[in-house]
Amino acid sequence: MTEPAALVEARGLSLRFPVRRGLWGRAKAFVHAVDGVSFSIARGETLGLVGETGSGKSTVGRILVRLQEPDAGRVLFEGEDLLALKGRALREKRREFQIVFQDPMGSLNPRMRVGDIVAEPLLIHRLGDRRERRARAESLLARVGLDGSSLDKFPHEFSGGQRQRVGIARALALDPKFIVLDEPVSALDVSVQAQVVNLLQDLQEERGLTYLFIAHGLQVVAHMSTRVAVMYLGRILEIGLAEDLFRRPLHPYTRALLAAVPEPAPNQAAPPPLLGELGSAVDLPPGCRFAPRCPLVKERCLQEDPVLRELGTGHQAACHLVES
Amino acid sequence: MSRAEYTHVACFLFHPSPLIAHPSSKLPISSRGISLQSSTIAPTLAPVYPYGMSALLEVQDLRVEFPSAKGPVTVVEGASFTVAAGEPVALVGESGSGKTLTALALLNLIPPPGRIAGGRVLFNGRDVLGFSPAMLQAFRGKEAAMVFQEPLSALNPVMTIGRQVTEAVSAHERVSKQAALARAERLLGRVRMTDPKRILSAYPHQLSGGMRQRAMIAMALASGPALLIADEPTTALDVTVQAQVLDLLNELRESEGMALLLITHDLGVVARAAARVYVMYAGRIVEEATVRNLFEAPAHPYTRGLLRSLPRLGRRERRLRAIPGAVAPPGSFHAACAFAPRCDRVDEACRNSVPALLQPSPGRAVRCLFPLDPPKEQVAP
Repeated sequence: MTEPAALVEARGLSLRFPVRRGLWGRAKAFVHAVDGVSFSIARGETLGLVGETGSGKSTVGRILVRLQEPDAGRVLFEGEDLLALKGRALREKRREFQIVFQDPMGSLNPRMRVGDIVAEPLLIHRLGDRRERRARAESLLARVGLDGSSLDKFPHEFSGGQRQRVGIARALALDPKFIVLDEPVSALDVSVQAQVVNLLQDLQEERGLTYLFIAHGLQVVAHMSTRVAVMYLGRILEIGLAEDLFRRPLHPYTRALLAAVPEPAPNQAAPPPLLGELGSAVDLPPGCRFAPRCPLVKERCLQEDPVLRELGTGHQAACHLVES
Repeated sequence: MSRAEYTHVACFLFHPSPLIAHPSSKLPISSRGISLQSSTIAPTLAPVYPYGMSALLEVQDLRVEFPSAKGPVTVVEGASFTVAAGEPVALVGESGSGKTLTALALLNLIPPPGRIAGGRVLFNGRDVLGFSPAMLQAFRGKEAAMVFQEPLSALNPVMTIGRQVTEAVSAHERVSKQAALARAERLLGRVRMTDPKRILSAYPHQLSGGMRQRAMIAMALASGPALLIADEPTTALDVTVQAQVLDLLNELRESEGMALLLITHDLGVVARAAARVYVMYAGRIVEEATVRNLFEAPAHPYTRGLLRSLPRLGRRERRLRAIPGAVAPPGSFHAACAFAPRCDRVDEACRNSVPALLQPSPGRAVRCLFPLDPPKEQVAP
């Protein structure tokens, strides 16, 4: 492949939600869900986005597919400013990016037949006639491993893994270029997760798809991703090639996160876990947002908010203390 | 089950148990070179007690049924296992494996219309299933306590943590309000809550998930139970907090001399927190092993399949080795191995009978007609 061109680019995304309001309804405090997040995703690659609950990783995913409008920042899709699009132009563009959610039971309409669920995006975009849409739904379902009899079944008749396959088939209906996968296997039985992960990888290869893979399970992110970004309280603390990041984590938070992963292997001396819990995104500390839990914290960390610095080829971390 | 009942389970008194827990590193690694072909068929597991002299908990042939339009469905089918005093044991399984119902049955807490259709639950030699309501009340919390997955639904949202913990303290003992409060504060300190005094007056919603789970554990410890049953205690928590809570459970197990029965779907949690493990699939125990044996030489094709299918940090593969098919619903295989439709070693015989539990060596058992070979290397005598 030649120089990978960015398919999707996030520039300085920020989104805050008001949490306390004053007498006249004016917001007095905000949750900084996403706070200055920038990255790019090359065509055909998978960017893994990891973080704990409340890190803002899902919000970033939703912003990229315009399910959520940011307060600031830009999203470039093939160089075009996605946030500037409106009406018909936006609707046309939506065909090119899709999202798959964590809980297929919550994201599939329980009263619709699976064939109609998968064909719905085609209906919305007025593609094909009834018969063509049904044929397309059938072939999509076949591709994700569900036979023709599933067309007329309802979501509750399927197992969790099969429902997630339906969600994936729906996301593929419009032949998108980019798919946000928001915890696509977290709700599935352990013995079924690998099937869905393999399916997602096969589809990516076959169709040249680009993924943003959001998950809290580090092992599966390491397996799926070309590059990985680690988020904490709305900010990316470290980003780099998956291999570099997992083999040579730079940020103290990434290191703690890796140390905490319970590996299915006994007799591994488990390092002492990180103290405390994710802080509040309402009252952010003036310095580094990880400082209150950081084992290496120094005076400077409490005053100065670190920014992402290049510390290796394509490997960046936001920490005052790490050297390249 | 009502919230009141749940709260009740997590209640009791304080009599420090003198039992001593052995570090898992001292577990004898028994019997790894013994061939499975020469094994005997064990109808129930002969108990092995690497930890204490005798079993604290001995479950024999436990059956749990739920009624359905087509007759009763057996969701736990002939489960037999033991937990020694001070021992950390895991019961691992996916959804529908029957692991949670097995745990609830230990406290005679199967929610109706489900019922315990057979078997015995011996706790220090007495059958819990034959207890009168009064005996059960005295037993739950005081001798065996339970911690649940979602502390937010197990805690009462309109009562302060202090009140809930003191309630647990005074459930099995007459103590003054002051003394109960003082003890609640000490308990919160023991589960590593910073600033226990402040936590006493907090409501559950004001605490983080990890703090709420610590509060639940404090309540469970209040009467110094000999067995703590933890049902997916860290599943709802973030990974860094999960590590803290697992380590806390094992610290407490050692310092209080408590046995720990950990119910989980996560093999990583098993590796981090247990010494011995029972694997359940579709209502049956399919494998028993020390944690080390299980990971190094799984005997059941299901266990091996699970271990192989997990992505691992340091092991980069292009494709995962997935187990085909979906998890079998419980009770759907009366006369066959429930894993047969997904198994790569399946034979006609697997579809015609439920495999017996083979016991190739003490402390090792597998329910399979074609178990995997044990590791080749011999353990030095």
